[in-house]
Amino acid sequence: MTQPIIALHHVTKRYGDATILKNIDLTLESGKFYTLLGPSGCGKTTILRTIAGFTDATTGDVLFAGKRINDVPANKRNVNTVFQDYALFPHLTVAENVAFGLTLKKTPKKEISTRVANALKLVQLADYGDREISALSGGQQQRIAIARAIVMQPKVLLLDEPLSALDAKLRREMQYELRDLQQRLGITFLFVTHDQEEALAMSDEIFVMNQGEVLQSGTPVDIYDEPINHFVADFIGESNILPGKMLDDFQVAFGGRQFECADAGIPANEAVEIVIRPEDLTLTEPANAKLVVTIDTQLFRGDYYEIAATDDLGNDWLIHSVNPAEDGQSVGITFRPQDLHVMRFGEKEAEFDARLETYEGEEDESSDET
Amino acid sequence: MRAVTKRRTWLYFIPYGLWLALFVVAPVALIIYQSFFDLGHHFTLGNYSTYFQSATYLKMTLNSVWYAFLITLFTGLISYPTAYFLHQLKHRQFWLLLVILPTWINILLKAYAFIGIFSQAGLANQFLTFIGIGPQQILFTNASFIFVATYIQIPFMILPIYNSIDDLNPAFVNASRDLGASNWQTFRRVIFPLTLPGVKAGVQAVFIPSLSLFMLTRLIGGNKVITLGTAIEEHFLTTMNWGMGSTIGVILIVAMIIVMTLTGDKKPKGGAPR
Repeated sequence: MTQPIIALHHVTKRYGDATILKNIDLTLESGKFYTLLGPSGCGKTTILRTIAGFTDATTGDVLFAGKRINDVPANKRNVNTVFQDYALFPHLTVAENVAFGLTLKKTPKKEISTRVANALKLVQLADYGDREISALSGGQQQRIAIARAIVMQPKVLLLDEPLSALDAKLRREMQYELRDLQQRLGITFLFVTHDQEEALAMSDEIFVMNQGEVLQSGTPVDIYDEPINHFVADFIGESNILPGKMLDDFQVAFGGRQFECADAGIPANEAVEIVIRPEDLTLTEPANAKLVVTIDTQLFRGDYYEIAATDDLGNDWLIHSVNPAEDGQSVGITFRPQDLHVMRFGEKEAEFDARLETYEGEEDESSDET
Repeated sequence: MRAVTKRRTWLYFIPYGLWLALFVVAPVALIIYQSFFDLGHHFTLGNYSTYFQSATYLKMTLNSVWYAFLITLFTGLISYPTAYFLHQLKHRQFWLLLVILPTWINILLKAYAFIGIFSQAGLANQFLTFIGIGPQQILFTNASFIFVATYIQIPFMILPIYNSIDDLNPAFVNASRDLGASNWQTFRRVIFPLTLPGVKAGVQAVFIPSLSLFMLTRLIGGNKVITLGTAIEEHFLTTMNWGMGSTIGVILIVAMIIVMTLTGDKKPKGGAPR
């Protein structure tokens, strides 16, 4: 493994009695796109500010390329930030904004103008150098903020919810552009967002946070398919979460019946929670069904129907189906063993990963058909 | 319905309109009108030609501008750091109140207080005697005039600067630090330019009244500094030459307009929004 570019070791941040960050450990490798994902107030922006140097950790170390940088002021750190409200200087033109950092370093004028021109070209606003900031739209300001940061050629770019002020369509466009930009520049991006869709679409790796803790980290697919607990399952995507009981390895009971699943290493008779994603549920004839539910209501979402249903025990089910159903109708639902994901209560990420290790091989065989 | 609302809105304008007409438009019109009459109530341009040909009046004008400039400069030099410092404090509203408090006291009372402090047997001289320098002539010097004028004007400069610092988005400071600026570079390139509107407002609030100060020039400056304000007072109350007094008044108004234009906000340059 190569030297991580940024590492936080046991970082805790307190304001008076309030603990904002609880013993955070995370490592960022060079050249990857990372996302800190969590609800507002979970501490994700505080992590960003700690790395940028706008706030300091109460305890713990912040490492940059292996060196402790806790005491290095923000202006001496080789990271740059794209701020949530962009923070473009209103008294300077677009080109002056982008050149700001370079002029401070006394870079030769000629080099400044070529680098500024390149940065503006990179964010597709090559002809906007002479404009006033107030004459730009939100999307353009956002790009200028990125240009102003990347012109400094930082090792790490920190992005603090940079897309939150944009409308939905522009946000989707910018997701592609940011991902593309990161891959072209090859620098590490650390992106902060509360939008799980953004996180899943862009990241190489996601850190899911809540209440000052990193609950789970992993690739978007890992986190989506194997959430560690109720919070993560609920926060990332839509899900059916049901109480159940582990009977044996690969056998779980819920909804009054026993099912085959893809999880193991949990003591028999332990109370667990089962996650099934709505798109993994298939409507079928009650005769061949694993469970029978009654349709309550449905919404047409364009590419699918979102169906709300209830089973005999009163559990609510959310089903995504290409075909419509009829309200009040009893239908069967079916799913494959690997669509079930079993979560233990209070399991930490390290324990979860260790347990997965013990049966990973077997699972891979059984999920070949997916 | 619409007509009624329109009439209502128009009614709200009446108090302000009356105020504007009675206390702004009418006096200015009267001053301009008076400035075209000589002592014998004959229409003349003589007052203006006298003003522009008289070395005394021109020197007096220069004097006024120079002292107003000095007062504004010292006020600014003291007020900006003070406002900046006040803004960092925990109970800043309280400290700000203390700064504003002296403005509630009449300017004459403050002037008389300074006469007491600066006089031969006053506090200032007692202190000088105590440290062995001995009593000095403090009152009726140009320095004491500038000192007291600056003291009186400081709150009017601190307030607009404080407000502009308060309005400054802290993200700009972070952005500047993030791009590698030291504290001083951040101040010079970001904080000061962005709080300049407050400084300009402060300059307007201090420079213009300082041009026409007249009680202080007599009470503290001992009439050694003759400003345009003193000249106007003399013409209206002593020589009874209202025409000449009004002419100087018009000159003052023109000077104010010039200051307002110089410190006003410039039109944004660059392209129009798309």
